Amino acid sequence: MDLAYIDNLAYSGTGPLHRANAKSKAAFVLVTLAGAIVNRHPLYLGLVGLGVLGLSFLEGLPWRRFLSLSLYPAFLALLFGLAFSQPEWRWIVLLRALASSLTVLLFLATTPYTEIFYLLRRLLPPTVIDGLFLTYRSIFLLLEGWEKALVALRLKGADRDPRAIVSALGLTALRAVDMAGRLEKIMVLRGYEAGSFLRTSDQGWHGEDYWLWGFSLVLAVLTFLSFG
Amino acid sequence: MSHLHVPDGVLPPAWIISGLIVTIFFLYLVANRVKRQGQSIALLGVVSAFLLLVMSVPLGIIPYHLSLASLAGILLGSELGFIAVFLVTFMLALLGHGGVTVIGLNTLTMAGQTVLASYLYRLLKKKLPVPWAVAVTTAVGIAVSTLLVIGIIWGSQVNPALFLHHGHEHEVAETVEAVPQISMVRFLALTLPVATAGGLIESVFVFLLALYLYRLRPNLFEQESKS
Repeated sequence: MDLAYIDNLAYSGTGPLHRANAKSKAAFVLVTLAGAIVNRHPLYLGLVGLGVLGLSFLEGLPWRRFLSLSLYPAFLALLFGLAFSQPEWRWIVLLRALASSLTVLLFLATTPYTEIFYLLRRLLPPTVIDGLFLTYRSIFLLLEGWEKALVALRLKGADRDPRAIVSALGLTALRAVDMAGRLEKIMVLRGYEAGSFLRTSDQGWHGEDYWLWGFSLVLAVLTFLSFG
Repeated sequence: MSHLHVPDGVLPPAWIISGLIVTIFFLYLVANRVKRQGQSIALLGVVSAFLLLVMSVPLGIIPYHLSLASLAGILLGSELGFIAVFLVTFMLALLGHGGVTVIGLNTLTMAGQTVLASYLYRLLKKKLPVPWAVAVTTAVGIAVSTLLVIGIIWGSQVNPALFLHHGHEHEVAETVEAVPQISMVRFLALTLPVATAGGLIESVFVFLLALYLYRLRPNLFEQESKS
């Protein structure tokens, strides 16, 4: 699953972007996304996409896989873009979606989920943040069971039989419900309160952070100038 | 893709920001109720994880997946269902799947399906066998979610720049001219066949899944204690 793959990249990488503070990376992503959303120049959008792919390459990340992961947003953007009568706007919509998804993928592949959730603590209610943590934790447990079920289906030659796939997913759903029951008891025993999953994570400030803030500032100025 | 995710760059910033504000408002509202009523956060996390897992199962050569947003409403109730939809939309957007700037609007369109499903199912299960009630609820939910996306695209054609730049007529004229309108006829011609096919496939899939689950755990579909 893509989530597990990207999560592994975020935890196992050692490049400059991996070392940078999550806040600096979030600022960079926000500025890049804002630039991609308000800018109407296909060339600018294309350059943002290429720049992000270049950063992924320099960081040692699988940029080709990132491109294939961007297929889904590209497909949807195409669906929406084709509704525009001007061909230039079809390109703008497509390139915006690609630039945005590649930027977010770069962020995710260099920042562990837990740090991203921690950044959201001031914006979202504690119950929702706890939900994010529990979803994140549960997905890998469920994934393990689902992969075993898939292997069993393949061994039986039933991996293309819709009913068999539905049964395997049904079994995974039941496993999920059972897991929730156990988790609930553990949370009650440990005196769960909303926000219990939040832990401070002071990552410190590194040289890379200055570069990222500087780069974000330049991008913000460029965006402002092109928009004005 | 039984539901339509709005990608980044289609909607004007005013719509994006409004969508985020409304979603966060509802999240606080719903989270408070969930906390007061002591609803299960564990179940929320695990069901959201299951939805993400199902969405990751590819169903063909085109990027196509199921959503199970209606099933989330049926299993979790309207409040936890709303949060589950947000969690899933958020995680998917972080994977570049559905726009990250339109997390708010995508949550609202999918949550429309989830919240409706939780109430509609209660009515339908009195008249239909449970798996059928779940399947019909899913079909109606997807139709509603698709209509919400179409409504948002149509609504956003009323260019918010007109309101943002009030008093600067020259600037307004330039902005309106610069942003072309989406042809709604073409948009419907492109999206409706995809959404209809997706809705049908998902309804059949959910029917089979509900049949399986109902045989083994009928109590999963008892909703009296939820929402």
